[in-house]
Amino acid sequence: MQKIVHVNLGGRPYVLNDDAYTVLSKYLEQTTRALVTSPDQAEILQDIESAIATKATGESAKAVLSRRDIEKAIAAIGPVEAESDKIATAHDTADGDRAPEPRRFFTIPSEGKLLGVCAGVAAYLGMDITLVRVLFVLLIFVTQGMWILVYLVLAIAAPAAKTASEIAEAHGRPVTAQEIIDRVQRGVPEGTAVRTGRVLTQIGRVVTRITAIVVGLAAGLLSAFWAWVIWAILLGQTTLKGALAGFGSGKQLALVTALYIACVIPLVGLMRLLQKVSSSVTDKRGWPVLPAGVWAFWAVITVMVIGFMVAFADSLRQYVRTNDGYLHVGTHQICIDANQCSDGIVEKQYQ
Amino acid sequence: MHANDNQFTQLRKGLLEFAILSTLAGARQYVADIMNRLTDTPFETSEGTLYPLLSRLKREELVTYDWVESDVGPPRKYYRLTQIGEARLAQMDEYWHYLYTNIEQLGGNDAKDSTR
Repeated sequence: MQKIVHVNLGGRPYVLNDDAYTVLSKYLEQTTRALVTSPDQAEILQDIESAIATKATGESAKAVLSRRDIEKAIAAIGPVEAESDKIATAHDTADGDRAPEPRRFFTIPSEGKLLGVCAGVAAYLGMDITLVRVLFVLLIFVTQGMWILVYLVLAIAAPAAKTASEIAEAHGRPVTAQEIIDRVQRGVPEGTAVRTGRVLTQIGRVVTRITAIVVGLAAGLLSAFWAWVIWAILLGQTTLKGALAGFGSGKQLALVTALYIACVIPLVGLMRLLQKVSSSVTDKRGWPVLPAGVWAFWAVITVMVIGFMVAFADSLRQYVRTNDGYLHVGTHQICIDANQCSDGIVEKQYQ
Repeated sequence: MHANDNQFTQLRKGLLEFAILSTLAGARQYVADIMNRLTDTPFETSEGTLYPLLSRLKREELVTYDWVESDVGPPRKYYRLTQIGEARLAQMDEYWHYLYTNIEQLGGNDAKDSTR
């Protein structure tokens, strides 16, 4: 059930549904602001309102205008810009001196990978979405999986941004006409994926797809291995040898993580590329939709790693002994209590 | 010709008013007519730009409009040039030729040769 709103556009009555009303009022609000210095503000607004109404109604005299109707009309009309006496320079932007819009926390499913929680957090904090995702994954490991609960709570508790105006609100930016235009035009264009997919033979696609899954599995295994190494380092049960053994655990964590990221990004990239050419099912960015099997594998690996960590935490801790002021790590001993380290040797190694 | 080259954006912006007055030179037009006339020219623009511009031209009394009832929707504003507007258009036209002649004299001949 949709609420409807009666509005007056350019002096004539129209009926909009609630969604459509939100988009329209945002657009008109922005138009009003853009024209605040113009002596013709009222007249231009009337013209724009009439134009929107005419376009949104189209040939058929629709009883209730939907968001799609309004968005199409707005897209056709484009952003309204006040005329300035000077000719605008390339650096002039309409929102240069505008106060930032207040942000609301939404999940943004259309921008997200799973439920849009990371996208929402990134939008709310103004952070890069990839960074937020990496942080979330790290937090899952650091909190022994508890973060998954936090994730789910956020996903359930926060409202989901569905309309263009809600998404804009999540990002704390006014709904720009351009944004609505982009959204309208995005549609489902025939992307490279579709065209390439058509050219490849069915066999070629299957082989590519299998390769992609193998690469995905490799990335999954690598993730599991990385998680295990991180865990081992955190417990002091370091398995790092040679040059790396000399570093402190903080540096080891950083190094291993950097290595992991350096390896896993090309792997995932390769997988998605292979998927892209083999799949005609794409998401809104033209990327393929990952087969459920790959997601399932990653989920299983994650659960296994977390389970392993919880089950073996005690046994792992036993490998790390502290007595006589030294931390024993394998054959390595590091002084952690200067008062007890009798001979003043900071670090020693036994064969 | 790269009519849509970004480097000429400012030039086109500056000439848009000239272009719009030109579209009104023959007969009265409403906004959709003007838009159609501008389609596929370097001056192709959106209503979002057109309405503010027309309102200003109206305020400066270069154009005026009549309300005309429409079969399909709300009444439409049909714009036409006023006498001042016609005079301005003639002036602009003249000035445009003056500019063009000057540019040509400044070395436009070279440019012409290279395109041959």
